This record gives sequence, structure tokens and C-alpha cells, in this order.
Amino acid sequence: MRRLLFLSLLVYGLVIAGLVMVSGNAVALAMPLVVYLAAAFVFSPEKPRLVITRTLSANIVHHGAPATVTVTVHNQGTKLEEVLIEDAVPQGLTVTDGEPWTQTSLPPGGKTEFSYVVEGKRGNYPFRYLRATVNEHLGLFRQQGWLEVGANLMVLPELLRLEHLDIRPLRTRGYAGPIPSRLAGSGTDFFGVREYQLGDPLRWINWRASARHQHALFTNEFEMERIADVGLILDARQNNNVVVENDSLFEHAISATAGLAEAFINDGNRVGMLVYGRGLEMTYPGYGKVQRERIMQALAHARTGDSLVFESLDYLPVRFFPAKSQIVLVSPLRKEDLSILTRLRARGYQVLVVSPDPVTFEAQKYAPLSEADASVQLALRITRVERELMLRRLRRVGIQVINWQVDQPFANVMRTALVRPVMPTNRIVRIER
Amino acid sequence: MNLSTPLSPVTRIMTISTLVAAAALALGYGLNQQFVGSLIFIALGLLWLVGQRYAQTASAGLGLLGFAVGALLGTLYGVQSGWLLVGITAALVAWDLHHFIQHLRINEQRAPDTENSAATATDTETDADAAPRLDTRARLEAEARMLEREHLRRLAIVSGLGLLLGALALTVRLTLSFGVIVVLGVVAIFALSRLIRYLRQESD
Repeated sequence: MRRLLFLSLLVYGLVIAGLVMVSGNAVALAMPLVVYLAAAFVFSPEKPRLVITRTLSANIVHHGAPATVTVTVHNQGTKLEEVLIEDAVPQGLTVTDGEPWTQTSLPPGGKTEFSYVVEGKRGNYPFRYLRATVNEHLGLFRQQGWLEVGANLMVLPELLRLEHLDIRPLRTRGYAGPIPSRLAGSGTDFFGVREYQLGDPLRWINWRASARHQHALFTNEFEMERIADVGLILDARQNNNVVVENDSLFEHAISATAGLAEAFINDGNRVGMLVYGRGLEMTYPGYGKVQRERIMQALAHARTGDSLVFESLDYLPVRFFPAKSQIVLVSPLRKEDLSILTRLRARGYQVLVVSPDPVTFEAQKYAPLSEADASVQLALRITRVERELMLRRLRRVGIQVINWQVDQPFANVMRTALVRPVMPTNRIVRIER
Repeated sequence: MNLSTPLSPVTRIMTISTLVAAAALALGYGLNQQFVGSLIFIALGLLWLVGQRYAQTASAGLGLLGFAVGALLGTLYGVQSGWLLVGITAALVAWDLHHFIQHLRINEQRAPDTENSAATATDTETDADAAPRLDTRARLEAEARMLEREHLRRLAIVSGLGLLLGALALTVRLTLSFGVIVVLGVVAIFALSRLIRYLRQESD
């Protein structure tokens, strides 16, 4: 635009000077500039009629996996001498291969295509606009516009893979699964002994117990293994998050929740999820791969947030979780959370708290500072002691607590913490001699 | 992406045009015994070359303006018009190419990290993995080269035609009456107002 104005003023300047000086030669000097302007004007582009499509190689990708974006441009108008198409790559995505733009010329009915590869962190990335700039070869006249071409890319969270997790909720569901149900039936673990009944397999007869009685036979009972209801609660309260040098504790909590969800679903359990923070983002309980995808997508969207209502866990919608089911809370925890967790336990829920350790997380990031300063060291010790006391109080009320230092492999921590406890005999068979 | 190799012919033509513009005006003034004028245009040409070397966009406008004013003054001092016409046409070509190079450099900057990311990624990759990157680069360079060819072709035609018409205007003498001059003046003002309106619309 400036060039057009500059050249026009120059032409006018020469012509007017020629007229003032009554010099034809001066006017003649403007001739190359006039021809240049005229040529640009003659070939100036009309409003382009472009049909643009944007396709993604996948709408949902896993963390670290690339997605290829292909943009196809059809020219349905007149010839475009020079057209520049720029794709507005959503913030947070990184172009790892190719270019999100192309510059070419398009004949009427012509088509061009360009592709580029993007990668990003967990999240939802809506592609919306493309910018088309059209000009003639000399670049004096130009048309520019934004075209809305929607597409959406979702990057799922990083998954910390876990093996089978041993949980012991008080109530299980009616389908076979890996969780001991506290009920006698078909299974592998010894549960108790009862009098023989017609139809019991002979190999289940407890010969040692039967030998003590002349007129009675006794049969071993086994503990049924069933699936259970598991409710995951992800703490997304802004105040509980720690962000140090672009590393967020919340992101570790997300990965842990994703790993837990996958492990529980793989075991056949019915899993629901609640993201508690900005509001209540619920994923209703369900089974299988579809449920897994639902949870992963919910985690991809999860953000920390502030809310006066949800500042504490008091408004946790307990009815969302079936009675006496397993609840897994993934949270750095704070003192105020103890009361609600105790109440949950009192209501009969089996509560497991996976707590990414915010103290160690922050201390490791500021390691050089904390090592140098004695007062920082002291503060660190006090905070650690406070946290340990808080976790002990939770353990004392029967809540399983896993204090996860996020630099340690989550799978190892879980394996160590969830060793199946020796089951107490909860059914006593009295044998009268 | 490094577009310096395909751009080098354009850069060469731009440098030659700048030198031709400076030489034509310096020669014209020199032949008219205006040696100070010659020195000024040689200096102006050199300054413009320095501006081109350091990608100073403003130097293009100043260069063309300087040569246009110099050519206009040359008509006053009686410098042979042929030299002036050649000088202003060459300056126009240099001005155009200077902006064209800037335009392509903006595209070059539009894709900042491709090469770096490709370099780090290919350390552990096979040649087959690196192939798409080479394709992208080749496609963009081919398109840049095609646009460059088209631009040079258009510029050659336009500057040749301008030079021809200019030479024609210098040789053909017409005597215009005052009325015709007034009409031409009105047309010029009308065209100027249309231009301003167009520019306002575009800026909106």
C-alpha cells in the first residue's frame, strides 16, 4: 500500500513539475513509472474465490504423537498471480515438519496443497482461520482475507502405564473380575470351611477337617473375585497446583489419573471420574474402551481453576459414587481436605489417596537455592514434617495414602504401595468336637 | 529455510540496475560538465547498494526518490534526456527488486525453526524419515523460483515498455493548447482523488 502511494506521488510529482516547468522531458521521465503503475492496476487481483479444506491425519492423538495437517486450496475464480495461504496454527502446537503456509500462483480451477506436521502438549486445539493474501506480480495491489475452516485436534495426556492394581472396596459388582469380593464362591483364594453340600466337587473337600468328625464332611470355600465401582477424583483446584519453570504438578496428577483410569478399566471395573476445581466436570461411570476414551478426552480438557464454591472439598458430590465403592483421589492435598476424606471413609467408601508431593517437587526445582540457604532448609523440613503428619492422620482413619514424589516412576510407587495385604479371616467357622 | 541461493540472480539484477541507474545519471551529468552532480549520483548509488546489503527497506524509497529528483533537475540543467530516462528506469527496477527480495525474506522468516528442528530430529533418523522435510523445502524453493521468474518477466516487459514509451515521448513533440492542458490537469486530479479513495477503502 505504501509502495503504491509512494509511486503514485512520485508520478504526480514528476508530471506536475513538468507542467510547472513547461517541460515535456520531465513528463516523459514519468513514463516508466506510469507504465509500471498501469501494469499493476491492469493485473490487480479481483476478490479471490477460494475453497479451502483442512484435514487432519487424526483428530485425537496421544501425547508426543504427531498429527499431519493438510490444506487444500481450490481456485474457483480468475487467475491468481501470487497467492499466499497461511494457516493459523493454534497456540501451544509446534510445527515439527513442513510449513503452515504456501505461496504460489493459481490458474482458474487450479488446486494446490500443502502439509505440515504438528505436535503439542495435552489439550484441545481448535484450528479456525486461514489467511489468504492475493497480489499481482509487481505487488502493488493486494487483497487479503481470513477464511474460517474449522478442525479440531485433541492431544491426550501422557499415560503412566500401570499393571494390575490391588484394591479392596467393601462392595463389588455382580460380574467376575480381579477384586476379592469378601464373599464365598468360586475363586482362587481360600476363604473358609463349611459343611459339605451335595454337588460340591470332591477336590474341594477339606480332608483334614473332615477327619476330625465321624459323620460330617467339610468343604473349602473360596473368595469370589468380582469387578468394582471405582471413582476417580482429580483435584484441579488452582491453589493446590505448583508450577515451577513451566513444569506443573497438575500435569503429573493428570498423567497419574490417566494411568489409574486405564489400569482400572483394563481390569474390567466400572470407572467414573470427577475433575474438581473450576467446577464439577463429571465423566459418568462406565466400562471398556469407550469409557477409557471418554476419560482420556476429559483429562485432555482438564484445567486448573479458581472457584469460591469449590475452594474446599466440602462440595464433593458423594452421590456420584456408588455406596461403599472405591474412591481414588489424586491430589497434592491440604489440611482442610482431611475432614471430608474422613467423612468419606466413615460412609463406607474405600479411599485411596494418590498425592503428588508438592514439597519435594518445589524443593527439587529450587535445589541450588535451598542447599545454600539454611533458613530455606529449615522451612523445607518444617513443611515436610507438617505434610507427613497430615498423611499419618489420614492413614490412621484407614485411608490408603501414596505419597508420590513425581520424579520417581509412578508404576514402581504404586506397585510398592498396593501390595495386597494379608486378608484377615472375616468368617470364623466354629467346629464342634 | 535458506532462500539465498535461488535469490542470487535477483540480487545480481538489482545490484546491476542500481549501478546502471547511478552510472547513467553520473554520465549524463558528466557529459554536461556537471561533475558535482556525477559525484552525488555515484555516492547515492553506493549508499543505496549499502542499504541493499543491509536489507534497509527505506533505502529503496530514498534511492528512487533521489534518482527521480536528480533526473528532474537534470532536465533543468539541460542534461541529455536519454541518460535520465535510462537512469530512472533502472532505478525503478532496483526499487522493485529491493522490495521483492524483502517480500521473499519475510516468507523465509515465516518458517523459523524448520531447519533447526529437522537438524536435531534427523540425528537419529534414517534418510527415509528425512524425506518429507526435503520435499517441503524443495516445494517451497520451486514455488519461490517460479514466482521469481514470473516477477522478472513482468518487470522486464514493464520496464522495457516504459523505456520505449519514454523514448517515444522524448522524440515526439506535441503542442498542446491551454484548454487541453487544463483538461489533462482535471483528469490528473480526478485520477488522484480516485487513487486516494481506493487507498482509503483498502486501509479500512
